[in-house]
Amino acid sequence: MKPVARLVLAGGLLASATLQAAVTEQGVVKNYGDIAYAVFSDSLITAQFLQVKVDALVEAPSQATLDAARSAWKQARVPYQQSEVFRFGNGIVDDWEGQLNAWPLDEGLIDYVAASNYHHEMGNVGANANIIANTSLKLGGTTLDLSTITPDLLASLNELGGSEANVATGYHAIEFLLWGQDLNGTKAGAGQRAYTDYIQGDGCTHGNCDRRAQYLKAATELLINDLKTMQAQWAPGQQNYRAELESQKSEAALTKALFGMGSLALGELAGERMKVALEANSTEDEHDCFSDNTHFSHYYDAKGIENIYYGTYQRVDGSVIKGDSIAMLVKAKDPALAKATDKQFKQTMASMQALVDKAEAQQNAQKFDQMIAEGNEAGAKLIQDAITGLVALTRKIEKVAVELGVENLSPETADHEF
Amino acid sequence: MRYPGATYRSSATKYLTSATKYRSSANNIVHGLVLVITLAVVSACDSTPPEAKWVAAVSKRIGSDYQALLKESETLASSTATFCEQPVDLSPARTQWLRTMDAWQQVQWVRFGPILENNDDWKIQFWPDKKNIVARKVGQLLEREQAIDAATLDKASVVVQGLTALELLLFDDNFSQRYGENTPQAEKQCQLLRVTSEYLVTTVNRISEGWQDDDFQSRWLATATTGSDSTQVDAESQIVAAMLSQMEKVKLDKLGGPLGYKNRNRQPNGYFAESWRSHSSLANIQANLLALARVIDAQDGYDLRRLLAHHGAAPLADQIQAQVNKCLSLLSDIDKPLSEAVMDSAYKPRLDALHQAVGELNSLLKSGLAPALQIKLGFNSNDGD
Repeated sequence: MKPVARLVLAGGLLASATLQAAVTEQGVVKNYGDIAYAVFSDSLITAQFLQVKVDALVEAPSQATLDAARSAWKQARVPYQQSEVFRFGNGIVDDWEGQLNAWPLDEGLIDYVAASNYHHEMGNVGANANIIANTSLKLGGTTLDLSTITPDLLASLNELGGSEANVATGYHAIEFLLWGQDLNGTKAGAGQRAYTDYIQGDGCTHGNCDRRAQYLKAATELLINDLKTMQAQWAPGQQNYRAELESQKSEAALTKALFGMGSLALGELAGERMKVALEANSTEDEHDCFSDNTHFSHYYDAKGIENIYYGTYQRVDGSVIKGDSIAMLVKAKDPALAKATDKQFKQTMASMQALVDKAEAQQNAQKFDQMIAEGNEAGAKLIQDAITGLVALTRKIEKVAVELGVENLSPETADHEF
Repeated sequence: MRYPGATYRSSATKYLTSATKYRSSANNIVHGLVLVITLAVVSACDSTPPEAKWVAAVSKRIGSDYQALLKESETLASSTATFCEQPVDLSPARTQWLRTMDAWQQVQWVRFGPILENNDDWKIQFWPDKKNIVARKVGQLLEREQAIDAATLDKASVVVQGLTALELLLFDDNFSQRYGENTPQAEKQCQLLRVTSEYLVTTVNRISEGWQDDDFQSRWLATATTGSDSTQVDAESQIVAAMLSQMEKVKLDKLGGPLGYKNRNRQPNGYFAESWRSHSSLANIQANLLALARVIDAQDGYDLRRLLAHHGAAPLADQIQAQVNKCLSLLSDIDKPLSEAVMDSAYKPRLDALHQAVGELNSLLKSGLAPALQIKLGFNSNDGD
């Protein structure tokens, strides 16, 4: 694959729509990095805004400050979910993301739960550890000191006792601390944690409000630290992961991009996050199960795939990143395939949008956990259509890969280590 | 493996696979034409391409495997019915469940064709189930006032429709000890046991008939000779992708899961073994390996060995066969149920050896077999984490 050389324009001032340089693979890789940098920067910005609201909640707990924190959490999910397309394929992102977005979690590790409505992973010794209520934890022969809840302590408690469901950190831990357990099953309603869970001194509900506040602040701080780390890896002009990626043959980066798109669309989103929950009618397998924000999380995952294909990303401030794209490469080589892929994207995104529309409807709204209820045929159809759309999209991504000469869709890191 | 260990997303319960045969370049087409001409000269009396012969032979094998599964399921249904007439001895029903599971494991790798149409593979078996959804869903059914019949199961979660729920009802002490109690609850549980085994027969029968269906057969077999077009994945590619996907699941989920290789701290967990309640995890893997061996070497038909010889890659068949045998031999060294062996450090070297050997087998299939047959593998559900 010989990319057409890009026209070098003095000062770059002439690079307007009327005099567009031919698309190159290097241009696509550069734009891929630009989008990653913008997405992780936006994730950081919105997490910092969340921190402001969390601090306000802890400072003066009220329904208003709790609602504001919840709303900030939902906003923070918008850019973060669009970053997930970078996960598969880029080992550095995949190795890092567990601390931020691991799910499902056994929330009894973190705080109080309703015993009758709590279903944890079998064999999980930490399933009822309740870090907030306990200043120390005996596990096997050792005793862990939990007296001060810090970001480092929380990071060390992830996968406590070897269980993946022991998630002490990240978006979903914070989500649980803001919403609490969703005790409604497949009926309407999200978690109903009261702001009084954060009242310091008299009026504190469920005890340990000081430690609960400490936990929430520490988890938020860790999230911000982690996002800073990943943002730096994608900053332009630095010695970082992005520089390494751009120094490789552009085919290697394209492979990672395409692998990320296909893996997220098929195995992860269509399979793990939608089909399992749907077919098993299992709310335990709902992605944002405390807040009932699952429809948006799924939508923005798919949006992230679309971003990479078209080389565009709308930032949270409304500005738009735009550059050389995989779509342009395909269009230059096989206009028919480009057209068919466009059509599939439209159809798939429409089916994702339909989930959002139903969940956010003014009347008779249904969240994802209601759609998966046994016997809800209309809800099941909405989800099934989205799954079918994602599967069809994956097929197109495979064809695109073949067209672009990507011989093996699995990057080297896809099956590393036993 | 990938770390986001903190997640349990990796799962064998998603069977979306694909592969396309890569014949798009002009070179390949020219090469193909030369090949066709040569073949025409060499074997003028038999015009069936080798791919088509192989696909037809595999198809026949799959059909008879479904028949065998149907027969075992029917026997299981009568076995549970007999038990429920006089709930004294569970062992015949348990033995028959094991035989049915074994028949299913022989044909579990076939994640294409009619089985995909109604999520029938999940109806037959739902796994992994780390949060014990099966016990909860079965519990909810048993608490209902109304009688349980096929219509009840039709509307229920796939988790309660097949072998997973039957294993719970037959092998889990919390359930199996109730039958003799002569209470309404025990009676209800027997009702569920009977209805679920009948439901399984219905599901398997639908797949089996779907597979034998003339329309399906002719459409599917036709793809073997047309190669890849824009709408369809050809049968040969589907078979190879499914073989690989199955062995990836053996490594990642069936072994890697209980061994703890999917979590950061690498802590084993016996509950993550497939069929841990019945102690048949290793028997399942053995059946998976034997099923693969039969695709490579079928004494009575056109097998993979002959197809590879046709492609000038005869030694590869021996290599794959030897690796399968190595896996089978390592597996037979483990004389304890997998769910217990992973918790016993004395077994770790043997389990690791098996895990690694299956990994090497996967490499042979992915980097050896697929290119030898000019098959380009696409995404499968093991991508993702």
